[in-house]
Amino acid sequence: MGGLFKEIYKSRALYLFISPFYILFLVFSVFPIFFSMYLSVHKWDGIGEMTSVGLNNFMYMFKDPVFWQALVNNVAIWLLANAPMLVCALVIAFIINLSIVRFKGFFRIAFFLPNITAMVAVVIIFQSMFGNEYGLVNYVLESIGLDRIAWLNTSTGSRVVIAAMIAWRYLGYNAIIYLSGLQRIPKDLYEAAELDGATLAQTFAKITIPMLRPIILFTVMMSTIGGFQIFTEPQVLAGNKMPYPGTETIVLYMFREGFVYQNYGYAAAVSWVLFIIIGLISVLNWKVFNKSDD
Amino acid sequence: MTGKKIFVHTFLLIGVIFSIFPFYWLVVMSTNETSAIFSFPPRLTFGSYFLTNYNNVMENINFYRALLNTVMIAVVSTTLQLFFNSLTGFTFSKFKFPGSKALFYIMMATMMIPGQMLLVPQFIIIKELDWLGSYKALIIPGMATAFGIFWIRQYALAIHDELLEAATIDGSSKFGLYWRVALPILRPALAFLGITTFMGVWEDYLWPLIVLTDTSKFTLMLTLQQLKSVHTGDYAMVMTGTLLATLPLILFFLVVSRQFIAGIMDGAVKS
Amino acid sequence: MKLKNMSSILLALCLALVVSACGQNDPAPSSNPSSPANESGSNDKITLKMWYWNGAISDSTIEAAKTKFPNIDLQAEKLPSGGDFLTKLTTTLSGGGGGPDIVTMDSWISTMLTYNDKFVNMYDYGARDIQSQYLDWKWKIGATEDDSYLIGLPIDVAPVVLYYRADLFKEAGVASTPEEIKAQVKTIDDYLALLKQVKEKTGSQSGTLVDLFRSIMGQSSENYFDLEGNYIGDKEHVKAAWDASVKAYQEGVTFPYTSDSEKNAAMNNGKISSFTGASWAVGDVISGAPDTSGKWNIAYPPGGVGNQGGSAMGILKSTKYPKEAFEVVKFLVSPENLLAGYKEFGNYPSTPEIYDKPEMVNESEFFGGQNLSSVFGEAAKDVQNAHKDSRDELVINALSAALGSVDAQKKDPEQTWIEAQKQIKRQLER
Repeated sequence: MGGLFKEIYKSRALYLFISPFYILFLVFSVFPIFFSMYLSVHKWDGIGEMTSVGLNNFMYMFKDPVFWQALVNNVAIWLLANAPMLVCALVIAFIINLSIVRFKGFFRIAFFLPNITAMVAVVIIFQSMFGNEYGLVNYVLESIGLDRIAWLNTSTGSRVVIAAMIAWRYLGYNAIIYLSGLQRIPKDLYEAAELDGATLAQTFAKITIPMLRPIILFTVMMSTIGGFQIFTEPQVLAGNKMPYPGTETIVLYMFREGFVYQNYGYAAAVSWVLFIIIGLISVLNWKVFNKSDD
Repeated sequence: MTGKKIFVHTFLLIGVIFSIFPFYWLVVMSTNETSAIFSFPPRLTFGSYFLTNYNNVMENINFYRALLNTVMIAVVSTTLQLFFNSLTGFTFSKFKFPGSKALFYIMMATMMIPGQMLLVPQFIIIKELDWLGSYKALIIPGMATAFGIFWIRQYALAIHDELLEAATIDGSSKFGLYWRVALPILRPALAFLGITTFMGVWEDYLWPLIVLTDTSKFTLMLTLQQLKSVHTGDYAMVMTGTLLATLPLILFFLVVSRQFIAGIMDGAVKS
Repeated sequence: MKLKNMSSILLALCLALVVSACGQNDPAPSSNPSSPANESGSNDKITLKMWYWNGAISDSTIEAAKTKFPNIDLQAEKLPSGGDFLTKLTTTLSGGGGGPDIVTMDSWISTMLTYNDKFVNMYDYGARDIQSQYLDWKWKIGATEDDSYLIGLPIDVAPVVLYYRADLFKEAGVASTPEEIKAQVKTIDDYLALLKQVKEKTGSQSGTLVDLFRSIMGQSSENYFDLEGNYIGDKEHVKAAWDASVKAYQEGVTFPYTSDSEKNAAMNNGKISSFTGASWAVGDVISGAPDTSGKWNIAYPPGGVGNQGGSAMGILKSTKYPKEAFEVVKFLVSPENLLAGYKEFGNYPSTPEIYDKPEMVNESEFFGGQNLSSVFGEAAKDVQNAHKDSRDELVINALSAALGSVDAQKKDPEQTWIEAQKQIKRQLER
């Protein structure tokens, strides 16, 4: 143990460097975390008295088909939105970074714009695009002789719309992440590849992907964490009403139980189950994408 | 070569059309009357009502005051976050010390907690600290974030160890390694972090709503909400306010995004 | 290395425990929540902080209050409306106060009755003296069941009336003036028969079946829970509303819009020729269907009058000046000032004595020059008040979602009803 303390003392500057986060964590998060753990085994309407209910909240959750449906919806939307989006973002970043591309500044801002555009505008547009009777998309489908699609009335249809919304909002965002990651790759690597007569696809697969691995891990982790906390898109698209079929995510479910039905204890229990789910999937991601790290 | 060039640019342009369209529509809506917003098929051309809408916004809310508040909070928050996150992220990426792994994983786990459930207890803490209504409540709890630290750590992994060793032999302190060696290499990463942090502060809504008590201290996002009433309102005015609140973000992005194509010293990163 | 990891985790956990223990042991000073700024007694003015939202109280009324009470520094904070306002209020109350003196409350005031100890009992400050000025049903929404405790004075009401396209009704050969509709279309069955004819002759429809269901339930004298808190959402009055809505859908008289944009498009293109809506829906129609200007009318609704919305104003227990605060609230919601609110935002006043005043006349060109105010006034007096419960929202959401799936996913209505009831009962048993 003496050796350990010596080592700790030797690294004191490093502890100082990382301390801000942990001090803030102790002050602002530890009490809320314990509070919400305590809450998860209680019944509380948010203002009145708390009553202890043991593990009832968890038992109810595991038996509630609505909870399981929310989990299924969540995974479906997450996969539909994130997998294609991350691949496209990587390709776009790679292309913008090519030396032959002009107006790089314009493309950067253009692709990033969806992430800045206010949700109020986005919602009006998506509603107008995907309406059953008066949607632009159905209008186009009909005018080229195809059948209408009941976008917002079926689980699949509304999940596709939500996934499109998420992918659209975060495509440029992730492309910007990759773009800054691409700056880490030394130019001479590309030049050498070009001298060897490598095609764009070969350069992409052999140089870009391996060099970007830690950055890709970052985006995958963040998309997972974000994907299981999807909340804004399905909520605002449905307006004040209940979310469209197949689009109620876990956080929406939790939010409604807590802030609308005033079952704060139950909502806290849901949040802890969600925490465990995200944790498990993140560990999986870490193991898959982090082979050559550290 | 030119064929490739044309193909690549066409591909990007198609993507750009999809990306820009809703923003274009936002601009269109802010130049039209409310009735044009709801009509079908929607009006896609500019109208002549922008000035009317603009004046309505200015009459109803103290826009520039809120803008000033928000810029101030965003600049302070972003500066603090860039410093603390990059210092911590760099430390985690390049040094091993007792407990470093465990501490790192604890930090990662904090990102996975759904934040909504922490709202009430966090409000209580702010109240106990007597920070209600103060910008401290907005700036200090978010000075260092797991997101930012994780991002910088992933980016800094590529910094050449030899570079750090050489600097240490030259007598550089650990902080010197961060300040003189790492920071220049981290510029593109800091640019991204700066943009997201600035945007995050700009668009944050729920937390400022709960901890700010004085309307004169409201941020832009809160003030914009004052334009809305419970039922129908002047939508064109709301859209114009929204557009005006977005423009500074775009400006900020344009200024900072040059850093994405920052030249990095040869040999600074691992091949 | 393993041991080192363990020890650092332990260290972190210990620190965490210490801090959280401190947090929980801190005595919460619930008795004195006012901020130091309120206590600065440099002059004799007292400070009252008021929370409201855009469109709740006219800004000119607030200015008038400042003039009328020169010894009070009235700080009116205009906050975001809707759910955000409620979230801020709930969080502040959960966190033990530290907020405003006067708060505006929307129709969710009935859920606040459960926590009436957080509010000043307005009966203690002379609310009884002005009670007769207000609509009785509206007044009762802010009072406890035994009428001993009042947490809010009424501001506006939102009676639900029938909005319809007079031109299309005429074309279909059905009752088309407000008088004819009131006289001939009395029940929901009458309305459904009328809708059928309108659909056949003009191809236009009413809103969704969920809209219809909510509207019929709004007219009922019973909601989903009785006075003792027993669930009655599976009883005859609810099933009848469900069946009527399903029938309307099966006869093809409902228009299945999926979003507000689509509803507006349908109205603007003449696909929706009637729907029941609250008094505030006037603005929705005008901005949503600009091409149909001059063709709309409103009428006394078939099946009885419901109410959708309308706010009230109360005083938090944490205030230091309940008496002064009451005087301010009383002034803000006085009949003359509510009239100003109607002129400005179309909030229909809760004080019937002014309904017939010439200033109340509200002739809208969009509605073919009809005086909307007289229809609202007539309806407002007849509103059915049903007992509200904090769990109503849960039941309404579950039933609406189920009913919506009958149309959207072509589910069997009987089976869906049974499943929805099962789910609601399970949720309530918790």
